[in-house]
Amino acid sequence: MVKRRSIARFVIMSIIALIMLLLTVCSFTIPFTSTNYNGFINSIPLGFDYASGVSVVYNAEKTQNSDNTLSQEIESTLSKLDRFFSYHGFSEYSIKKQGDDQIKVEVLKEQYSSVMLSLLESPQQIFFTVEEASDELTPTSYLSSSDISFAEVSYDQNAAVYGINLTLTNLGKLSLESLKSQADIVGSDTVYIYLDEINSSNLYGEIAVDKLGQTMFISSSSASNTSSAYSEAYQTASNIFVGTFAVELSQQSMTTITPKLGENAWMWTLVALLAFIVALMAFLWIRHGDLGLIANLILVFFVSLQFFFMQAIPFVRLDLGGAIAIFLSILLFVVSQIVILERISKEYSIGNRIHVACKNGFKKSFWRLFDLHIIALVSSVLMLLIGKYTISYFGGVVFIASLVSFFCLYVLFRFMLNSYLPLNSTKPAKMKLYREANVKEIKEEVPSQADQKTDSEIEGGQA
Amino acid sequence: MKNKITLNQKFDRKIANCKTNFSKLFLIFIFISLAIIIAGAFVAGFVGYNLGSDFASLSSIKVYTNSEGYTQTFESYDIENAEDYNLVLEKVDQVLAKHNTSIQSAQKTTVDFLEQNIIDAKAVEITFFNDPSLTEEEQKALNSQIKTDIMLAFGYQTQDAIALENGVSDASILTDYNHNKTIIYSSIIAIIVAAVFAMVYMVCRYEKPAFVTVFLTIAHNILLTLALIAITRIPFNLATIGVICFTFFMSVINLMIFYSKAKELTASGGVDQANGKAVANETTKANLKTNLYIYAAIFVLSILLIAFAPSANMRFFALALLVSAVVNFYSAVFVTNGMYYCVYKPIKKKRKFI
Repeated sequence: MVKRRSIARFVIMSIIALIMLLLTVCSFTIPFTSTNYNGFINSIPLGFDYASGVSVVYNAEKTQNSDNTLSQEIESTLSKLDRFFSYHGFSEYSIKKQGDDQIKVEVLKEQYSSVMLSLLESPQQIFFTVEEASDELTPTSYLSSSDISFAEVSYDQNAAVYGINLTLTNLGKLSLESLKSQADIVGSDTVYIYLDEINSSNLYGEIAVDKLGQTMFISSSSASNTSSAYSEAYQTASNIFVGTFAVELSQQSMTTITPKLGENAWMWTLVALLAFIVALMAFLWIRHGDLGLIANLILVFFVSLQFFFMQAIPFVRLDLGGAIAIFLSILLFVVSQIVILERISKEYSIGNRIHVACKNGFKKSFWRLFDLHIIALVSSVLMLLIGKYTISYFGGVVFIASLVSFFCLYVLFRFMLNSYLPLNSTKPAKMKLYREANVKEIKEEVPSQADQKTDSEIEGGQA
Repeated sequence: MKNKITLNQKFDRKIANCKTNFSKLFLIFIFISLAIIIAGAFVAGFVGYNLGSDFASLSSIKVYTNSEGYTQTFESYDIENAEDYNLVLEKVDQVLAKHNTSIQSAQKTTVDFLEQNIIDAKAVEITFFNDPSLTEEEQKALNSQIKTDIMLAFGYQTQDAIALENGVSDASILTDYNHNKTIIYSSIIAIIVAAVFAMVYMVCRYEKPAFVTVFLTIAHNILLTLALIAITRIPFNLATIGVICFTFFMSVINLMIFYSKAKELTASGGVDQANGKAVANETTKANLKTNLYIYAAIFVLSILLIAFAPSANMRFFALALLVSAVVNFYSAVFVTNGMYYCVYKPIKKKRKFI
């Protein structure tokens, strides 16, 4: 009865492993629908190393109010462009000054949006005045685009409207003071905001003097909380931010570029990964017999789950750094399996019976593997939080691996080994377990005094 | 009944009976490590790293090819065809070699929009290394000469050729926005913070001197990897930072395995715990099998990639990975045990229970 249940478990787990493997690797059209299923591997977002991109070259021209050389102005614009792309959710991009008067931007093809990039070509200047413009009067601006370091769409909870949050530069703070003092002199408690030019038709909105600050919320007179108001505020915020650039950009060319590592790099990485896994599987099987085969089955679960989470969790993107992390993840898992299997061999060699050896193998490896996974987990979280791009992706992959690995080891591996024991608890040769002829089998399941000591010390640590 | 001895058993016995005293060899190996690190520091300091595309000073040029072949004036190149594509690269490479530079990377591009209103034209965008000894103006003059030479090599005589989907764009110096430097700084900080965490964790779980061993081993492995990358002239790219992170993690895995095994051996009385050298030596022997298997798998992987990977960037990455694996294996077998026994203090225990 017990044997039959074990066989059933093995069959079910093997079928699940096969299905997971197919879901990981294969792409197909879901029957009776027009939906395409891509497979976990094909759904992982790729970085520039593996994915095609779009390269856009902009011609740069100095804006009128600039005193520096064009080259200097372009360099100062690069950092603002960096902020622009980062704010608009581009996970990978590259910004370069090309020659003397051009800026080259590369974004991933899947993230390319002509609408988004066209925002770079539509700057809007912003002006703050203390008097309202009219046909007769063009008031002086005391705070303008050059004083603003960033503009982003925002929501005012009190007024329940979408608007724009402006952040001033350090020099902008001085301009803000002169704006406030001018408002005092004129006796106005309202400041008027104009876009593009100061005239009555370009009035964007008003703001009370007491609401002026290094960061301030402005909204148009027609602002509301609808989605169209959000889109409008979003576009205006982008235009205002682009208006703070020291150069004006116009698109010169746009080209599609192949992946940095070549067109088939991802396929080659997968082939290498497959060869690596097969080499490890062969080793586990040769070295540990049936136990190695069980370890191989769990390795399939691990790889499938790893890829599943990598495509499901948004902070993972695969470049060469991520690929190294996948190799590392598999190593972490296989090293942990070897630690358990070697421990089982050791337990058997000192005279324990097979089921006791397996039980002790897991028990006595626990703290060793717990330490390993905790360090990997925390280190990867640190890399994820502190690192950028490559390192962050590296941390992301290892983070997933350390959780999935521990689950696979202490839930799946243990479960499968327990299911195996009723099938074979008398033939150690099948599991490549052996002991010297002079070692007698321990009949009772009582750990030796030395073993008890080892257990308590390992589990408790130094404390 | 006489038991049949399997290969596994033979191997296990061979390791168990191995007379090599790894701890005794520590001084020799640490001397070798130091020599390599110093040599690497000299190379990095005086010659510099062989900076790859992510960090080197580069120029970019675009060669437009008439893939349709409808213009009789010029030879047609279909860059989707590997033979033609390699021919284009070969011609450009010959020109660049004359000017003592080389192709850093090449990408096929489809020109979707261009000033001259060309749609769907094919081009190869090539980046090549600038001469670091030249000023910006001199480099510009050199780029202009390179452009002329490439045009001549392809038989493109005039600038107007571009309008016929044939020709060569101006070669422009690329100035990268320094976010690659930000990546390096953030990586250094991330590795340092992670290493500090590992040290503190090891102290809490094992013993106070573990702090020194963990610090020295991680520093040794990372510095040795960096030194070998400098000496072997493997290009230093963002992927190299990934390899450094790999080195860090493998060092931590090795240390964890080493310390837990050492603790197990001393606690079970399998080795004289008063003798640090013996503990270190026996622990190294006990872990030797695991290390051999794991690093053999990484060697196989790296060598496969070096032999068969289609792009030079991938082969260089595999080479860096191989260097990291060699360093970690070397450290796990020959260095960590020495670092361990140098700071080893036998744990004073209440013996009455034994």
